[in-house]
Amino acid sequence: MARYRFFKKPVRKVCLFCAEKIVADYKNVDLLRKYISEQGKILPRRVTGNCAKHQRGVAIAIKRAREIGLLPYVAK
Amino acid sequence: MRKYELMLAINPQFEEEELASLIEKVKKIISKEKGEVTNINKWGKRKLAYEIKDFTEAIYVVMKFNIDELSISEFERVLKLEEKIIRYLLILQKEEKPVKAKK
Repeated sequence: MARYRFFKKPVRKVCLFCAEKIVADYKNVDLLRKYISEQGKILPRRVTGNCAKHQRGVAIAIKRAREIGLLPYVAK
Repeated sequence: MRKYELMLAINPQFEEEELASLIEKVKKIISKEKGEVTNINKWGKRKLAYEIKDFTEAIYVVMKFNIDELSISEFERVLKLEEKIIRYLLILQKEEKPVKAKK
């Protein structure tokens, strides 16, 4: 039992979009940058902590921003 | 009638007046199709995340307008003919919801 003492229950992150009652928008580039990796990939839900609904919105917004050249498809 | 949002990435070598005339031109295309422009927001010059047609930056303009959904294909066809626009994004507008003021 003792060896399990160091395991902490992971803290459940709260979806930012639910908390702030906002919708992901492709024009809000600074916010979307938080949801892409250094390589420009979209971060998964287990990292971002978003709810499914808002993660979907983020993904669509990022893809739109990529299309118009606001965000990279591949960063360096 | 539907609400659309159009984002234009325009050739950065454009002067202020030429830009105004281009916007006027797009407006004219919309009004020709019996649409109505509700909002224009000029972002100014911005660096592109990747090169498009050998440009590293572009002038961004966001337009919001109402137009009949049957006319939108014709509008898009005419818009594509404009060479000064290096990339455009045309989407249906979402319902207005409070957006966090952050830029």
